[in-house]
Amino acid sequence: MLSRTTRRTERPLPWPAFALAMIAIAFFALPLVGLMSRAPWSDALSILGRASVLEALRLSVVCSLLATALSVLLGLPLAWLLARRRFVGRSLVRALCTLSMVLPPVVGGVALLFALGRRGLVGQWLDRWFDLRLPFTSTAVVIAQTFVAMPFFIVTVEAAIRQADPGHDDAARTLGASSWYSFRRVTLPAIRSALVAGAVLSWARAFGEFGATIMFAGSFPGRTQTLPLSVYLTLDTDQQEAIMIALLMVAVSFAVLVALRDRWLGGGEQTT
Amino acid sequence: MTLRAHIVVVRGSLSLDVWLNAAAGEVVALLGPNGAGKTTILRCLAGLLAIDRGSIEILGEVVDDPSAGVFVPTERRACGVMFQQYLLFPQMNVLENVAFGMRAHGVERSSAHAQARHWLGRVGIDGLDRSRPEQLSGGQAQRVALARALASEPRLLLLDEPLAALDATSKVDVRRELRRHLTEFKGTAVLVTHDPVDAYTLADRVVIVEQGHVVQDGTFVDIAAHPRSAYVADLAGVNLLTGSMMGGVFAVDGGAMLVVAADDVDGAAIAVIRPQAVSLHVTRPDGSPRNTWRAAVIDVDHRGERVRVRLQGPIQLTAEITAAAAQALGIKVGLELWAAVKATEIAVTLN
Repeated sequence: MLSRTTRRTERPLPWPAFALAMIAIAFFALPLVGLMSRAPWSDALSILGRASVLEALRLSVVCSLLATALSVLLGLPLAWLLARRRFVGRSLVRALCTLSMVLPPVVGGVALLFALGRRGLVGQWLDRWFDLRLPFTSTAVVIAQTFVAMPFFIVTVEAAIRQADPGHDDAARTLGASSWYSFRRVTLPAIRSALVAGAVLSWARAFGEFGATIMFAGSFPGRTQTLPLSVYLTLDTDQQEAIMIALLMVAVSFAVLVALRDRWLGGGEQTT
Repeated sequence: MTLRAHIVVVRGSLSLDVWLNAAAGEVVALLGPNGAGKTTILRCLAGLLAIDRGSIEILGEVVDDPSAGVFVPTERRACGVMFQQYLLFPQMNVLENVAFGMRAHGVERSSAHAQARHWLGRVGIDGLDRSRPEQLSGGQAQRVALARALASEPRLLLLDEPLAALDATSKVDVRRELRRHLTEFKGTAVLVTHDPVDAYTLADRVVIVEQGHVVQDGTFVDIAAHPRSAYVADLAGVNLLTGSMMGGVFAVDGGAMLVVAADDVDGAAIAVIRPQAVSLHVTRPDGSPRNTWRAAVIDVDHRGERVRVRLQGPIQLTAEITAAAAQALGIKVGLELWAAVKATEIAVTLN
């Protein structure tokens, strides 16, 4: 009797909710199935082995990892500032630094062009003084990706720092820890999972970035043509290659999410 | 003087203006009701809060003086703080927690850990080096927090409600331990408490703080003898009984026995009972209060809604009951009735 009542604690969902949840799952699964049903599986390996595909893959991986590194490097101090320091205009700064999360990426790309382009606000001086021209380079790809990806890191980490007890930082300081030592030994370990989650989210965003990249960096094979760009461009010329590249992206992103979700993104079985 | 401070701070509805001095080796208790500003004083001394006016001087060094533009940050004040919620670092084990201060000062890992082990031994924590703070009992966490504060060899030790987070049973042991450590501690200690028992048993001198001001300053006995506010008068009314502990029973000098909640302390002791904890009955009460005795009323003092009743009998003490209860019992001088105290309401400290 006892075991039956304890097993009952997990009550079934009402059927309309269950049906809607099933529709949601189908909604996400269907496009994947569609993609896979049209994939040229027999030629899969030879298509994926093409130099153009490998080139785009290499560029995507390298640029998205650099963008993630840049997001962590710049985003962590910013998140800490937003979470722990009170200053005038803090909410404005927060809105500004997370704007690109909701902005259409194409708009972001155009804005970057006007700021850092050859005749842009800052770009013209970079050109004149340092002979540095950013647009349409691999650097531009990294900048565009960082621009849209960093907010995901900032938002995740700021929330975690807010939740961490500032009392522990006080305690560390009374024990003689400098603010850097306290940040490194006390605050960082407390937000470890948020750091990983934020980095993964911003990496995923950078890896799939399209709009800002094509506006600011263009689409030059081997230099700025990342996987999403080559999917878009090869769809007209070689549909089979486009589908295989799309599936490659799906596989990479899916693998990363599944591998990290249980441990870092708060998923998996709840232990209560 | 180890500590010389004049602290003026305005925070929200609290307006704090206190003078506080302490000699080398002295243990000073800041005693007062909740919201009096005691913890704020402690935060100012530790440098976690800057004062608006006044000055703070520790061992001759001015650490905060707004008029002179001096503010020494917390990490360079060498004030060990034991926080009310202990604030042990949850990601570190016990040993790393205690070694943290030494590591922050650049002490090499192995030597910091060796010293941390020494401090843990001194507070009676052995074999828990690798435990996480969440695995510790309240009493253990309190000891680890104390070891962590002492391990960085502070010039000034600050304790914020050191016993408030503990249950009544473990309080007795931990209080006795804490008293021993405070006696051994060479530097000056300031502790904040709202519990007169802590102030009486732990401190050499008591400073009463009410609404941001020092109301009275002296030994507990002096203050109790000449209360200068209603709050102090209430404190002064605390029943202090001398006697000895043996096998969970407190033998009051004069012969009576009281069952108490502490069962592993033996020797000469002091029992403290709040007057509100003494209940009065016409007939002998049954149930949880295990200490009951016949008593005679020898004095009645009406204080608005409360009535203080002095009792004579095997145990002499004062009870405080509501005016309504006093009327229902027909309290008057000469009345004989039953007095009762729960074991958990008796705070015992070895003398």
